[in-house]
Amino acid sequence: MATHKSSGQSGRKKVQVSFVIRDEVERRHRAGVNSLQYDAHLQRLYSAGRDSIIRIWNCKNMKEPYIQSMEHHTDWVNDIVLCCGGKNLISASSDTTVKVWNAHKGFCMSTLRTHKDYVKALAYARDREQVASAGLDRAIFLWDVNTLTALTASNNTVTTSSLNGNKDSIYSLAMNPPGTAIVSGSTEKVLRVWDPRSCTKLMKLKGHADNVKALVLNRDGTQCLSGSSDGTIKLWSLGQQRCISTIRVHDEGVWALLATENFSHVISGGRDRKIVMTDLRNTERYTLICEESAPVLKMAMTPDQGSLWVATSDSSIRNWVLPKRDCQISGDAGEEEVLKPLNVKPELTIKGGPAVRHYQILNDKRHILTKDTENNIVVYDVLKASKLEDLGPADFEEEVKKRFKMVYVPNWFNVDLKTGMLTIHLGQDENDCFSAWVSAREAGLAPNDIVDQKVNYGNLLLQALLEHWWRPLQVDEDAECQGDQQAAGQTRGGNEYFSVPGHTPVIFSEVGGRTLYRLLVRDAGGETEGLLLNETVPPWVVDIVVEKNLPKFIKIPFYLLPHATSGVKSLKKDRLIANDFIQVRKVAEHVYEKVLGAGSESGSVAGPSSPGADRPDPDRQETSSIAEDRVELLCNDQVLDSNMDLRTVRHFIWKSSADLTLHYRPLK
Amino acid sequence: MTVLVGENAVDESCGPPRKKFRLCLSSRYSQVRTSHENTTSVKGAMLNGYIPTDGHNKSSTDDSPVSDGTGCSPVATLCNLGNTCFLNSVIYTLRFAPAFLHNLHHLVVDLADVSAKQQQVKAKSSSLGRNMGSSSKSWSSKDLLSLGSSTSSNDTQGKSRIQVATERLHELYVALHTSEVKENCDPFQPDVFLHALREVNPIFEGNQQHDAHELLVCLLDNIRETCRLLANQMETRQTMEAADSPENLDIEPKISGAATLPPPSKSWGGVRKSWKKRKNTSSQIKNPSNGLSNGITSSVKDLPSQDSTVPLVNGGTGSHQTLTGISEFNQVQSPPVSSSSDNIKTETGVPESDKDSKKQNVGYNFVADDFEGVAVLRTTCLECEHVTERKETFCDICVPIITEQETEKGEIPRVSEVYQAAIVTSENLRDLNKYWCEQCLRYNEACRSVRYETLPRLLVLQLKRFSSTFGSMVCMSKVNDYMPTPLKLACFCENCCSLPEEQRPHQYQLYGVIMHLGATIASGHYVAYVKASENYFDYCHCGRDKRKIPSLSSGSGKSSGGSGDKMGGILKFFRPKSSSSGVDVASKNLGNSAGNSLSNRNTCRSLDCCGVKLNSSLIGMHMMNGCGELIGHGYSSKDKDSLNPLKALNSLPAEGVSSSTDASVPEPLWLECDDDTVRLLTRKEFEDVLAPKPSKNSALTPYLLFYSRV
Repeated sequence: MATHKSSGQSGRKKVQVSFVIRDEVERRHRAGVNSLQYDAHLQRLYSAGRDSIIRIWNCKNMKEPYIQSMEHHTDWVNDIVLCCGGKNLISASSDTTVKVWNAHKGFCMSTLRTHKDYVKALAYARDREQVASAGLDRAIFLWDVNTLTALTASNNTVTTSSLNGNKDSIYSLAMNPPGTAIVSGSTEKVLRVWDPRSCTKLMKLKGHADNVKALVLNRDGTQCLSGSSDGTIKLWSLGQQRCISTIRVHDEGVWALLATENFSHVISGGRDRKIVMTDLRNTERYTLICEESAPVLKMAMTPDQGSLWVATSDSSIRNWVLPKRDCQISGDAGEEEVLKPLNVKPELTIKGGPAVRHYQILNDKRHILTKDTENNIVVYDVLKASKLEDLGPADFEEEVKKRFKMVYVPNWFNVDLKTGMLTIHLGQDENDCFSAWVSAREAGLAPNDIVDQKVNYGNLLLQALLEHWWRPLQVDEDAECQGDQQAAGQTRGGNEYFSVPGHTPVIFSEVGGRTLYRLLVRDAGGETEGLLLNETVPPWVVDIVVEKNLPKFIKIPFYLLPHATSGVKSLKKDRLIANDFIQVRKVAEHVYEKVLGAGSESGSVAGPSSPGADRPDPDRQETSSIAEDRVELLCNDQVLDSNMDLRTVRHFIWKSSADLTLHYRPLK
Repeated sequence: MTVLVGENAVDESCGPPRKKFRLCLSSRYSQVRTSHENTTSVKGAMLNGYIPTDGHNKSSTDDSPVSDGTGCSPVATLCNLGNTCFLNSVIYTLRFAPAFLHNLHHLVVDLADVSAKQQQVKAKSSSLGRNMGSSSKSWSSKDLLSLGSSTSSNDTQGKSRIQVATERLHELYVALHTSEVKENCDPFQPDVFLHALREVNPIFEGNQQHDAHELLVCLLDNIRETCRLLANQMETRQTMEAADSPENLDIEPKISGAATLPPPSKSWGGVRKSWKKRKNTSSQIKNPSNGLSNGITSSVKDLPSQDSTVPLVNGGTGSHQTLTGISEFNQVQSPPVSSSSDNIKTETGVPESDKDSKKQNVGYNFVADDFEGVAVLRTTCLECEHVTERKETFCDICVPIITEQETEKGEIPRVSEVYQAAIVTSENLRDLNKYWCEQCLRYNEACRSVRYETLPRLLVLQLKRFSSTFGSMVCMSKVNDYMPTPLKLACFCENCCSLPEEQRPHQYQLYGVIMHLGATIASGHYVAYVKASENYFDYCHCGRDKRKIPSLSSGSGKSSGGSGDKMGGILKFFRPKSSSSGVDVASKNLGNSAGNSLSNRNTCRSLDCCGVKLNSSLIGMHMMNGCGELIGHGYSSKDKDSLNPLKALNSLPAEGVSSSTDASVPEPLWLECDDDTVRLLTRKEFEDVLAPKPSKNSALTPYLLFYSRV
């Protein structure tokens, strides 16, 4: 499995826990597709998705092309290359890692963590089995593929050579098959060329006016094609170190380039969604092959050079027929002729799925409504990490409004939609995660029993996510004295209310930074996984999940005063403190007992102070109902429902950051 | 010169009311005072401050004759009150900022006007309340009374400090004008204004040195707010008038007063009429003129409505039409109009014609129009290349000093490109500072750039010479590195940036520099360098004159008309039969007086209130001595007819034009305003001042650059 190059990354930076709410098998891309590789031998297509998944498609069976998903990245997969004759796949991702895969079986062999920022581009020299990776950290690393594939858990160090000199973020990279030249394109707007054999700088090519996003080298490394955000394609002679011609066939940035085998034609695509084939010997001659439905990100040619697979920022992958080179149709780029695309319909389509684009967290801070690119509305239960209901195409605002409840629960998680799937982050702000205390009964977790248990959402969820994690080290220490109990406790990990789906991916990562570890909930019981978890699970999670410590209650300070119409004279202005989930009923009880009635001393603490359960005695329950009849509470002159809790009162009725003030009024 | 003043005095003394109205501002005050002394007792307080009129009026009677002006400085000077060179430098510079004085004048006049009317309404409504307290009408007027008095009462205490400061600034300029007219060499003490300024902004308390830039920003802010205040007052007044409609006649006493005045001389009748006409139709005609110009003016009139939406920068077509209208009109008035004069028109004409209708409004916010531009902050996600924009209004641009180390070796950028490179910048948001793209729903790298959608007509560049270094002590250290100060600056607004420099539709020309000498912001000395100009064309075709009391116009018209004849004499004197060119140039510089006399019907009287009046004889001498040889040839020999005063005026050096390669256009002169010493410099001398100094630390370094759009 994943190999950690160095241990103990979970050091200085704060670590957050994230998980993805998704189906067990995601057969379609849920967001754009960043890269494509075609395996001519097996007629398989590999696609690198922004949904963090690389998928393998069988092009021999277009009815049911899905073969397998390769899941291990946690962010956009930006580029892939197929090497070793299709045996291995190397991928680069915005999770800052480069991964080596067994392409046939689809599992991750090792993870390279040398980059410090998004890895944007890969380049491959087939003859030498060498791969280069580059990204926004401005570094280029050269990898020997044979070494990479030989890595094991114990032998997990690789030596790499790096190419220095780039001053800006690299967005594109190309190497010729014999590995004699490597070119990088960056926001510096220049192309930099190295000799990868000696790692020496060869030249700098200036000419573009914007970021360079696509590069192609010819076989002998004498010519280079570059596509830039300035909308031009430039053909460079590396021998003469100059631009030979500039091709202007796109209205917006050129993001993808492909050259025919003999470097006679260039096929280009970009932000303007058009795919154009240009004759490199006479750049006036070009053909509009097709117009895609979204900006073009990558193209891959079939080996017969008869058709083209195109990936866009839309989730579908389409195949377009290419014209025969020798019988060029559109001759001299006659204006009206060029405007008409050669193909109106794609030859083949690998359909993609919708990406989640909008979300609304409901007031209970547990349910989320999402809307995807196909306008489907889905309801999710964050606490149980699962989809609750598919509403189909509906009015998002309307559905949100329909589910409005006048309750207030503090935020305890963050939502992320970058992969097109619903990703939840816990602990982006540590305290945040444990701020939501609710009544288990009201949350529908516990049956309607007498004991009103208070539960903490973040606490329960973390326990459920790491339900299967057992800690051998812990056992060793405690086995002697409390062996039985401990073992029993471990087998019953998680929480007593619910479990989350076993296929849910859990991700540990530095806040705003790199991914440390990703695993599925159900795999946490494995030995290796357990060891890796011991390394990565941050202390704030260990405290809850292993030590079973309860998070702290959130307290609300408030003033309790007699209402002006009550006729009761207030002796002093008491500042009270109570848990934020205390219901108005309890405050009424307090008023009835301590302020108005039997009780003599005016208490300074309202409500139960013991965590978890406030366990009303039978007679206490009685007073509670009496209190409700005898006292009413008001806030901002509004009579409060006795089921409302204090934080809801503060949020919906008090609406101020100043200390909450409640008024009481005895009822006749 | 002297004759003009003498004539003025005579003219004024012959008609008692006119004497009072010699200075419009004070005249208004005094009028208000006389008519309402009984009703409101506090009002005298508003004149408590410095009263510039007295001195002037006195001087006009006992004026000393002929100029020994050579000993005097070219313009009136300001006294250093103790570390107030920051103040003086800004006052000097603004004085020579094109159209600034003119606009300020109208603002202050309008303000006084509105206040006066409000006062009357106030008085009347209170009496109304007494007399018919039961009627519903009195209720409304009472309400309005309270409203009016709360928002803007007329006495000094009630008046906002902001307004007072603006008025004091105007008074200061009036005083400078006065002392120029009477060729008083004593430096003027700007203490009254300084006091008012401190009232507004306590930051300027104490006798420390201050940042001239801070003062400039504060001053412009102050005037902008005054404009808003005036606009608000106008609204209030309109409501009041609406409420009091039956008494409308009484509310406008000035109109009725005008009617009682003796009819003006015949030659001015036409003008009067046209003014009245305009009043009735409330059109936007700017050229107050005789019947001949009617056709032209109507075409001008139509334009603003069409082009009102056209932004300043793009105003090309509309303004051009207007321009031709104006120049046609000029040709009718005075046949030969040279190409250079056309160019001058471009300078003043473009913005004015575009904003005609706006300008005519009381409370026209000229600070917003002249000093404010729009910057566009543009962010492009490098992933999806989606662009988001945010627009910001700015009144000056801070320019980082580009030191030689930062520019790439071997490439010496052109001077004007240095500024464009320093100002029009972009940065990449990356590493931990990534940009959250709403399209990609994630953090991506992005490019953030600053572009200028529109640049103000008057562009202020602040060189970032003071950088705060936070070490053990927080202090402002100064960057003394040389930064070129180009006399001409290519426009770098967004439209222009895409064009090669030669093809850009606008260009900027330096009209002032404030230099700083010293090591820190809190110490040192400020000196202002300004282009010597009376900005005569700012006053041409002023449409705002119409709001003035007709009697006033006739008074000043007559006086300056009379002086004009005399000036003609002087011109003759200066113009030898032979084409002795140096003197010709000198005569050209007699801008103010000559202009006044000959195109009087077109100029705004504010020129005679607070306008700049250069010491012509001094300038003439300087021109002869300094650069006569440089510019002397060819001018007068071209055609003698062209030497009529208007022509001479049009080619006033101060109005310098991009086509200064034309040998006939004289070199502009510069003034070095160092508190109470003002020195004339030729362009060459000025360039020497701006040139890089061998010693980095002692040099006087440009700090604020003032450009006007050509």
